[in-house]
Amino acid sequence: MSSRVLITGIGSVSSIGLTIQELTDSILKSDSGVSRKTRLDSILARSLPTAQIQLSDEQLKSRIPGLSCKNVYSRTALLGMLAASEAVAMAGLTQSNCKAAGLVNSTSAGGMDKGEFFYADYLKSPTKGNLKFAQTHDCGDAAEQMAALLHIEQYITTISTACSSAANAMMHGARLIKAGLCDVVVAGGSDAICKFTINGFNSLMILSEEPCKPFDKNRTGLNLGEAAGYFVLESEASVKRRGAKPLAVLSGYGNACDAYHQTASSPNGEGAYLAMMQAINVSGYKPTEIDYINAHGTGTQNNDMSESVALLRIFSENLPPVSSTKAMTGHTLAAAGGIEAVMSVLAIQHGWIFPNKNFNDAIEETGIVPVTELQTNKTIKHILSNSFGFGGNNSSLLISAC
Amino acid sequence: MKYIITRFCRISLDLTLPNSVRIQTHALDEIQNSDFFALYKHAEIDYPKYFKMDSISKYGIIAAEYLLKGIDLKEKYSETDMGIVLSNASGSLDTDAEFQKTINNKVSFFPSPAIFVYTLSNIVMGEICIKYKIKGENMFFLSESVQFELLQSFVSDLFEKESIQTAVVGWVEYSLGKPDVLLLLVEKTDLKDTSEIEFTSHHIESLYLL
Amino acid sequence: MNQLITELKKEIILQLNLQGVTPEEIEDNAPLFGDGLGLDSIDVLELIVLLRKKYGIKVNGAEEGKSVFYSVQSMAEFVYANQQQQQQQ
Repeated sequence: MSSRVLITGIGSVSSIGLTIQELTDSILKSDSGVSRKTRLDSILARSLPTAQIQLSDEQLKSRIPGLSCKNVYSRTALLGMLAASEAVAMAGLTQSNCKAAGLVNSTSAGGMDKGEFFYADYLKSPTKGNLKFAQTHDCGDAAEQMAALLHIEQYITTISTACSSAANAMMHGARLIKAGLCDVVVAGGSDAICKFTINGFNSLMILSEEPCKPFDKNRTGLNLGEAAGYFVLESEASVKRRGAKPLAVLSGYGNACDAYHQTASSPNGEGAYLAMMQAINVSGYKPTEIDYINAHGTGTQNNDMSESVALLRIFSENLPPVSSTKAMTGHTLAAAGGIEAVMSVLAIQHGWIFPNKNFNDAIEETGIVPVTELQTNKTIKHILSNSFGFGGNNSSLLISAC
Repeated sequence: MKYIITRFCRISLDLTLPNSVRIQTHALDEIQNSDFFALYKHAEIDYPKYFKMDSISKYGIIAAEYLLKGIDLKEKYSETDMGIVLSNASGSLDTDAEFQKTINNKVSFFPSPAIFVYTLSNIVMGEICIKYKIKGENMFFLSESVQFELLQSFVSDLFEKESIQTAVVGWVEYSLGKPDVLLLLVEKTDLKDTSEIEFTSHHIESLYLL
Repeated sequence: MNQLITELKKEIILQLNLQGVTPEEIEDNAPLFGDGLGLDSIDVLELIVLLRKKYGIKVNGAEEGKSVFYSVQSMAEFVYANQQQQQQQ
């Protein structure tokens, strides 16, 4: 029996769709969720473009059956629950399947959207502040809430490695299956936007005052977003037993440390290069077999240059079509790897290559010209999806057609 | 082929003396002043970047220094053969609160980039990687308490798949001024030396409970 | 100007947690970045915060920062020029 890790369900929530169907419709229109509309009550969010989901927490909650009206849920947990529920439903998992399944969640902000309110009140007086807000603060809380909702009991864990989190969660899910520890794993990531995050990124001066331009020589930074993206990963034996229909294969994955700087990537893109090469090696496929690269492509001077160098190191003149979808979804931090992996599965299913919006002129030193219009009717068999995080944590997933 | 714990460093709050931590390694067992400058001097590190780090990263660097003192991993292993798997309970909560203070007051509103950089769970791991040039697999898990089984099985799997040839593994928790750190150096051996500590969840727990 | 330079040196040491460095050790015209004090990109951002916090002066991004923060001397000249401008307004 082959030991492939199959993807039997996908789910996502982002500024360009609350469901896979909405995401699909947005992609066909090459929509972008980046705008100056803000639900977040923040001066910065009113003056900078972001990619926010324009639903309140209450509205999100109303879309998730089975939640207690008495409980407080962090926005990160709500986004996660919505997206993971869709993936589980798509995979056709029963409650009994879920009981024996694993959950590998990931986040960077955790419940900070509630925690920052609690803390502001608490600093005024120790008797102020809604304690329930404090209870949802931990990064692990969303996983607990999701597991309770989905009735997952076998294995629950949380990974937090900045912007590579969801990709690492999916990688860990695949390993659990290959090691025979789980037959089914729900894996991905979720991050809600909050004042803490937008103020922090602004202090690093990497937020663009206009919609981001990944890989463009005049790029001025990233646009923050919020999202959640999940896979249901499954062993071949389980898929056969259940008679499930796999959507794609998680055929390769790689993780490496750039070991250069806390937030900046190395000039020679070492960590990115190592992660991509590992993903390709694990898959057993050759670089020439990659049909499309969904780049990390945040739109910052540093990332896009470093990633370009790494891409050329691997592919040199034979660079496959490449694009960053962050001008559509914004940079959704821990969820980025998750939503982009979900989009990669859609690309394989529909034969798409996504547009790298807002691109005009190539970076002079590397000359990479990404795909700028949505391409359809392509044969897409293998996609490399990159997610690179602060702390030099670099990850890459290789997603293949069945 | 066995996987063994060849070195360890345990740092915890000392309950007998004020402002003190207990540092136990494969080579020593000491009580030290918990002042960050004193820890730095005592560990005999020459790494000025330490003073720019947040508290968790400082403890991570101190523990890594004691863990790897006197050896140069790069002599035995390539950079990509060295991995690191860490975990903790509170992420970067202590530093998050520090950053929040810089944005709390609408009048005195000065978000600090140097503090914000550390408001991610895995930055302590990044700092250790930068100092010791660890470029292999790096993963950070969050859990309420040390997950001995998870650490053992995850790391063993990496060894078995030959993703890594050595790993720094452990728990780096810091909250409300209390460090709770355990770092292990895990290596492969085919020797039958019975004095070696095998890399099992039971042994990780024993070292944690020292 | 000399008083401003000395004051700036003390502030830089404090803001950037430069342990063990004394104001006397920082030369007025020595480059702060690269080989000099070995400051990095995050340090530039902290110096931008310093100028806003202490002197109420805004630096518009890392590009302007490169010339302003070349040395303590260039920082002092920038602060002095801005203070003159503020007084005239």
